[in-house]
Amino acid sequence: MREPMLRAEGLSLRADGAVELASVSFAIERASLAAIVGPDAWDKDALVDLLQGRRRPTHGTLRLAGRPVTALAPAERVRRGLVWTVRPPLELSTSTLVEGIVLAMSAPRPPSPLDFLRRQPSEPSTAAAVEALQFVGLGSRSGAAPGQLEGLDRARLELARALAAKPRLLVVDRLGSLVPAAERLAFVSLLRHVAAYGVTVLWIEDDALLALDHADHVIALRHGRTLVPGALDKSASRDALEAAFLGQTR
Amino acid sequence: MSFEAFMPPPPGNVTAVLPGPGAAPVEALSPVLADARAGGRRIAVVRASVPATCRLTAAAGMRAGATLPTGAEREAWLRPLPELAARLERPWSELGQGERYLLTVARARLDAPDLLVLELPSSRLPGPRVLQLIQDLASEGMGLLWIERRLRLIAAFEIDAWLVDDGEALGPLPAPMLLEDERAWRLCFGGTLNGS
Repeated sequence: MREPMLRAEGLSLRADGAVELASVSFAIERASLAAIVGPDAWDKDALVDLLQGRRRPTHGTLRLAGRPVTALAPAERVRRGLVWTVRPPLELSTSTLVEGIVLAMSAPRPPSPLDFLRRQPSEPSTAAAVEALQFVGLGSRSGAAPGQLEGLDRARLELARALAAKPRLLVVDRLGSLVPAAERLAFVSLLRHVAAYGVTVLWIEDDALLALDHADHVIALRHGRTLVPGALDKSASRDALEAAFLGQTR
Repeated sequence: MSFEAFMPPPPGNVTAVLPGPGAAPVEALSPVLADARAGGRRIAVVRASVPATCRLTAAAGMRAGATLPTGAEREAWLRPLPELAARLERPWSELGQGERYLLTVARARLDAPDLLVLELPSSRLPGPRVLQLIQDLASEGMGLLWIERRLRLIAAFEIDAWLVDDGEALGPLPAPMLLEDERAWRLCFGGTLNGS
């Protein structure tokens, strides 16, 4: 049996002694759309830091398609196909979308904080940028200036930027919050389209009801712990989910 | 877009704000707080983010150079925060998430505010502890602006509540009715005021 695209086992993170994540375990199947939801922001932030390699877990491991990535630097993760959208999205100040994506993939030397976004630093590819823009539905606007985009299109551009790095696993970090309510379903369809294309999507989302309706699997975090082990059974976990979001008075 | 009707609570009152998922809740309210400050309110804000760390003890992390109250004043200062009484001289690294939140409440109380803003206490503290904290602080006579997403906690009080999202403030609504309100329910689960 093939290993899942991502397996987190017993991830714990302490910062200055306080627990940010406590023994978080889950597995994300290949080419699925899996969501992470929860009422608090700080534990999702901590998980994103561990996925990106900005911080290392105090305990536990992360495996990408069976191979450990726990100790890898961010840039090395991107080379292996673990790619993420950034929050807030990069402000691309180029005159066209294509140039913006190529620039993001080829940030100038000396090493810059953008280095982790580059998969192939030596060969920024206009073709990859154009292909990614077409994939997200911005093909007809690839000559537009990035600053002109709003709402769903801005989210599309950030997705294209990440897709241009050819991910195997794409971590979409609360990109939905850029998208107006009326366009949320189109945003979800786009994520679904990415997963159907064979890229596993780990969708970190503020809107838990949206994620519950549309993701293949949902993992819920509360106060740094998974609400139930692994993914939620959407119907059976309703009480636990309500308690987490609505709060408990006793 | 309308914040015109929204006023921070006067001393002795509690107002709950249920925020949308967009901007950090306190930032969303910053124009209102700036007006209140200009109008002479003494405002202290407790953020949901973990406060600045300290290599020494909890008390030392309270505030650089601050003289902490002693005797009866200290007792009054910590009355709503009994867990801290025995913890202030302990190393900072021994404090849990909830204790760190309570410590920032203690820090804010050093300023004797007449309006205390609590940002998302339930993200760090268990529900029953949040209810007790709100009750104890409210009984001291200051105004409390309580930013909270856990709907059942808000609904436990007979107070005014506002739904705030994307520059819009909707209210006042009676807090106990919020559990029946679809918009409040959506905000509670991380959605937006105008649906998704």
